[in-house]
Amino acid sequence: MLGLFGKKNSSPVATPTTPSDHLIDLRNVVKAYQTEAGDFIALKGIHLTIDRGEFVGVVGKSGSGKSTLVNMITGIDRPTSGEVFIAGTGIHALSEGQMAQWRGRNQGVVFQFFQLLPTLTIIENIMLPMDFCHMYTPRERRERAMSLLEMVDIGEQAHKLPSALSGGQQQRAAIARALANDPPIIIADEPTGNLDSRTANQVFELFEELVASGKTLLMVTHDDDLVQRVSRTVVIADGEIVNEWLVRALPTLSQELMVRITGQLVSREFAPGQPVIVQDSEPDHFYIIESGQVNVFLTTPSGHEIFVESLGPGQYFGEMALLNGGRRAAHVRSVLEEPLHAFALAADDFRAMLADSEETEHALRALAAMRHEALTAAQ
Amino acid sequence: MISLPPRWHKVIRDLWNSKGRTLLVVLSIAIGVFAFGGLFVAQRVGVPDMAAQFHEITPSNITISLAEFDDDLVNWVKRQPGVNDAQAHVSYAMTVLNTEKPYSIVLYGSDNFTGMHINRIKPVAGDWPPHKGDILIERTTADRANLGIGDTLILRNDVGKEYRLRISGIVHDLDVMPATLRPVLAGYISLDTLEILNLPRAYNRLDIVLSDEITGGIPTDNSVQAQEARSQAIAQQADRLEKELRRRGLRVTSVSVRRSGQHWSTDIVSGLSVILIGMGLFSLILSGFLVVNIISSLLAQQKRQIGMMKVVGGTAGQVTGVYLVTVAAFGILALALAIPGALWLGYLLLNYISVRYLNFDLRSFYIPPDVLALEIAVGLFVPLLAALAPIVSGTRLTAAQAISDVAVLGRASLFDLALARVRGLPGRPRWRCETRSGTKPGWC
Repeated sequence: MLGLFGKKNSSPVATPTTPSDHLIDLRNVVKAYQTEAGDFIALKGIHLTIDRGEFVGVVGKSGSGKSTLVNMITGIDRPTSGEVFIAGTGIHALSEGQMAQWRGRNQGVVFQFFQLLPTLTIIENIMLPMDFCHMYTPRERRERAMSLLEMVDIGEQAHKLPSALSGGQQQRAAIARALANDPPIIIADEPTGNLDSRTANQVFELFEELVASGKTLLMVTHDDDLVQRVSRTVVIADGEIVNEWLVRALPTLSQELMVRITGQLVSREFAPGQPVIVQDSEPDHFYIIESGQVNVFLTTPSGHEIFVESLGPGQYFGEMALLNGGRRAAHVRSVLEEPLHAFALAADDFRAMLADSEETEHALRALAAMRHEALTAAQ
Repeated sequence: MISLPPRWHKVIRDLWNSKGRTLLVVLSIAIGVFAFGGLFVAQRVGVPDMAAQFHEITPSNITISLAEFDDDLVNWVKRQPGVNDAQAHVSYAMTVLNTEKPYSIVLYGSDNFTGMHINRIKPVAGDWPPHKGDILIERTTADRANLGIGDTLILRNDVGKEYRLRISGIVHDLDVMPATLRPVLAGYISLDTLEILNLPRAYNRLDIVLSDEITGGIPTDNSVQAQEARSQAIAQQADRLEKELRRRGLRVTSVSVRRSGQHWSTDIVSGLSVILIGMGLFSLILSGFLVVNIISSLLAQQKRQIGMMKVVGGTAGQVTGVYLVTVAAFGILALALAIPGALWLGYLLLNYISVRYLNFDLRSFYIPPDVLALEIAVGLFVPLLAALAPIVSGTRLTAAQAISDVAVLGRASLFDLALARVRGLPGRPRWRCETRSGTKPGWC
C-alpha cells in the first residue's frame, strides 16, 4: 500500500505568497453569498490550521458552514476575503484552470454521493484524474488504478459501471479515485452519510489506514461515533469555528453556547512559573489550557505547600470557587519548563454559561467534587 | 478502446448510451449536409457535363426561317464574314391525331442526316436515317406521347388533310426542348417523305454557326457581362445576315438567335441549383439549432459530471474539449451517412432531371474534391459553431456552481421577467432547488 503513496508530485502552479509552517492554513476567511434577501455570510473570518498527518473531523449542524469551509480548502469555491494556503501555495490566488490542476494533483475529494461518472467503468473513473493531470504513463495509470481498487477491496469490480455497485463499493471507488494522483491531502465531505453503519465503519477504517500511511485527512461528518475516533475535531457553528479547546474541555455545551463562549474567551499567556490563581483570592476567571501545563498546589494552615496535581492542554481549572462560592481553594502556577497559553472566561460569563447548560453544570460540579475530595485528602 | 484515455471513453459511451439522441442529431446534420452536398454535386457535375455534350452537337448560333431556298444560298452564307458553317433543313408543323390527346409536331426534314454538321442528331434505336414514308421520333417525344417503333402516326396539316407515317426509329436531339417539358413532339423525315405529305421539297430553315472570333468559342466565362457581350456580338451578326438576305430579295420570316451559345436550360438549371443549394444550407442551419438544443440539455443533464471532472483536475479547456469532441463525433457520424447519401441523391436527382427534363445523358458522376472538402467542413463546423456557445457557457461554470448541493440553476434575464409578466405570472422568477435528497420545485 505504501508503494501507492510513495511517488512525490511536483506542485504544478503557484509559489507560496506567504510561507506557512502548516499544511493547511486559513487566514481570516470570509465567504459571503449574494441572495435575493441580501448578503448571507457563510463563513465569518475563519482562522484554521491543520498540520501534516492530522485526521480532522469537521462537525456542525446543517447550514453551519461545514461544506463551505471544505470548499474553501479544496478550492472548489473561493473566499470573499482572506487567504487559504495549502502546502505553502496560496490557492485563493490561483485561476480556475490552475486551481483544477493543482487540486487534481494535491487533493483527493470524496463526496457523500460518490459522484462517480456514470458512463465510465470504475477503473476508468480512477484513471480520469491521472488523465486530466497528465500524471503517470497510460500503462502506469491502469496498473495504479487497479492497485488502488485492490487496496480498497473492489478489484473485481474494476470493469463494471458504478450503477452495478453497492453504495459502499461506490464510496470505496470514490476513495480510490481520490488517491489516484497520490495527493497528500484527502478531503471527505460526509463520506459515510449515505452508508449503513457497518459500511461506514469500513470506510472510516480505510481513512485511518490512509492517515497511518502519512496522508492528512479532513472529514466532514454528522456521525458522533466517528467524531470520537478522529485525532482532532473542528466544530463550526453559524459560520464560525468554535474554540477547539472549549470543545475539548466542555463537550456537553450546545453549539450555540460554544459559539457564544468562543467569543467571550480571552487568550492569555503566562510565563514559566507564573501564578495563575492564588489561594484565598477572589475568583474572577475560569481557565482552559491551550498549551503548556500547570501545577496545582495547596498551602496548608501550617504554611506548607502541597502538590495536588498537574493539568495539561484541553483541561480546565478555576471552576470550584465559581461554582461553590467563596475564595480560591488552591494555587495554580505555570510549570517552570514552558510558558502557559490559556483561555480565560470571566466569572459572570461562566455563571451565565452554567445557567444555560444544565448538563455542563452537572459535569463541572462532578469534577469539582472530585477535586475537592483530592484537596481534602491532600490536607 | 482500451488504449484511449478515459475522457474519450466518456464521449463514446455518452454517444452510445443515448442512441436516440445521437441518432436524432446525426440524422438532422446528415440531412442538411446530404441536401446541401447532393445538390452541390448535381450542380457541379451536371452543368459542365451538359455543356460539354451540347458543344459536341455543334449547336447553331443563328437559325433563319426563309421562304424556299436551295444549296446555292447555303454556300453563299458559308462565305459570309464571321460565318463558320451553315446547314439547311426543312421544318413544318402538323398535328398528331392518334395519341392520347392531339399534339403539335415539328417535322425536321433533311436529305443528309448522317452528314449533319450542325445541331447533330444521334440515332438511338431503329432505322437511321429515315426512309421514305417513315418517321423517326425524338426520345422525349416517345416518352411524352407513349409512342414506339412500329407505331403509325396520323398527321393532320393546317388545312385538315391527314397522312400516315410509320415510326421506324428513335433519335436523340439535344437541340430541341424535350417533349416531356413542352407538349410539342419532334419528328424526323427524309425529303422524299415531303412528297407524301404534299409539302414542297425545298429548304426553309438555315442553321448558321458563327466563327469563334464572334462567339468567343466554348463559353468559359459565364458571368452576366461575358454572356451579354457574346449575345450582342451574335445578334449583330444575325442582323447583318438578315439585311443581306433581304437585300438579295429573299423573304425572311424569322430569325432566332441562341443568346449565349449555351444549352437552353443552362440558366434555369443554374438558378434552380442555387435555390436548392440554399435550401439545403438552410436545413443545415436548422439542424444547427437542434444541435444547440441537444447540447444545452446534455450539459444541463451533466452539470454535476462537469463539476466532478473539474474537481478531479479537469481544466475548463479539457472539459470543453470533451464536449466539443462529442459534437465533432456527431458531425463525423453525420458525414459518414451524408457523403455517400449526397452522392446517391445527387446522382438520382441529376439523372432523373437530365434525362427526363433536359434530355441529356449523364456520362460521369463523382464528388468533386472541393465539394467533398466543403461537405466535410460544413458537416463538422456548422455543428461545432452552433454548439460552441452553449458548451463554453456550460463548462465555464465553476466547480462550486457545478456541484453545489443547493444551487440556483439560472438567473432570470430581463426577457424572462418580461415574459413572466406578460403571462400574468409573478415577476420574480421561480428557481429550482437541488438538494441532497433530490430536486424540489419551489422557492429556495
